[in-house]
Amino acid sequence: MKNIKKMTYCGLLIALSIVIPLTFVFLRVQAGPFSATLASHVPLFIAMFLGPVAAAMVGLGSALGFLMSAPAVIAARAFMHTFVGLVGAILIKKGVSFSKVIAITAPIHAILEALSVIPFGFTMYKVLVVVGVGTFLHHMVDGVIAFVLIRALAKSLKMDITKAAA
Amino acid sequence: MKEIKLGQYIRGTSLIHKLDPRAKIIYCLFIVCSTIINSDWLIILVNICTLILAIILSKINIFKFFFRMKSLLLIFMFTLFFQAILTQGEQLFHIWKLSFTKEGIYQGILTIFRLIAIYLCSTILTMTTSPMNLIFGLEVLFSPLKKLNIPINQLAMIISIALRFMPTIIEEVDNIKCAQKSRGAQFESGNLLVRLQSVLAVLIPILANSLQRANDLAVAMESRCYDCKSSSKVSYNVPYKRMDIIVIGGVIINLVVCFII
Repeated sequence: MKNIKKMTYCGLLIALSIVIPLTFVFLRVQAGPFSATLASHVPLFIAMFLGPVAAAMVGLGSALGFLMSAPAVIAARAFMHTFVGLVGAILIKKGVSFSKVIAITAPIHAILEALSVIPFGFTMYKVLVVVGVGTFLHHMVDGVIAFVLIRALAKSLKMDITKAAA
Repeated sequence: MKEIKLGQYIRGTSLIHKLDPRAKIIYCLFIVCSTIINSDWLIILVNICTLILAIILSKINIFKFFFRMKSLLLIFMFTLFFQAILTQGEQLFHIWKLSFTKEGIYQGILTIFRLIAIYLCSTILTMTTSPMNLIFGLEVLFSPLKKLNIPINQLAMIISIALRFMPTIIEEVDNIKCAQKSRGAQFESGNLLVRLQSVLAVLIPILANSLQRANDLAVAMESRCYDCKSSSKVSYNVPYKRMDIIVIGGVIINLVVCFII
């Protein structure tokens, strides 16, 4: 039951991570070649509480999902969420608090996404900085949103997401 | 209700539609790899020619491909601009303090063609292959990873679940947005902070409902005797047809040529 439940949670979180950029268009922020939709990292952050494998699955699944509905460069950036989720989930498993995990994974996330756009021609320093800094800020904003959401969920569902798969 | 196009699949009966999804995925991986590895003009032109051939054979309106490329125009312009001004070489002309170089413009155009090739092959793949077939193809191609203890079966099932619930969640988002708007929420107006606050009013119920749905789904699957270790497909032995073998053979030949040059 644990495994199946974790699987269905991952499935729904992947669906959410693909749907949020599609439906919350008014949250889109565009800065030159970089564009992002605020709140799109929230499902990944929630998946971190389900364990390293689950977080990696959500990152990988969202990359595959974007491959079907968005330019390949977006899928490449989404693929890097696999490693961000993995690191974050491992830290949470070790007992690090959520806010610290968000702070620690922010630079990792920024660097990885900046690197992932290199094969698509973004080899110039300025563009890499835009993607990296944009991702960093995007990560922090989504961290705050996820924090608020998790506490709100704990109230409305009487469900502690941090122990959902237990 | 807003019309949101889910994925890009366009139903059809063309030669490309009938190709085995595994062959198409292999072909696309080749295009991406060869375009990234080798920046020789000949390789890129051959790739684009095969892509155009695939577009013609797919019988999909060619304007649909280029219409979708509109969103990449900004990326193209930025790429060309930065390449032109930041690459050292023979100067063509000056604009204010920026000097455009011959080599820079050449590199910029080359990069744009590489982007076009990569974009076209992923578009062809997603336009001519249904999402479920795509998942099947990826699962089979990745199945050797099981020996590394990577749970490919579960990943395929998880993505199938995600694809199945995307329309449901989209509809739910629309419903909740309408409900919150009728209670005075502002989504399009106000500054970013106001919009973020409004989004929480949608995200919280969406997330709560999704988690509840995940719980219900888990119970339903277990009561139907689903086992995580079982494959999501009864049969793996779907044979390649002659056309599939031709495509994969062509890919291998092109790969060899690509490394030789």
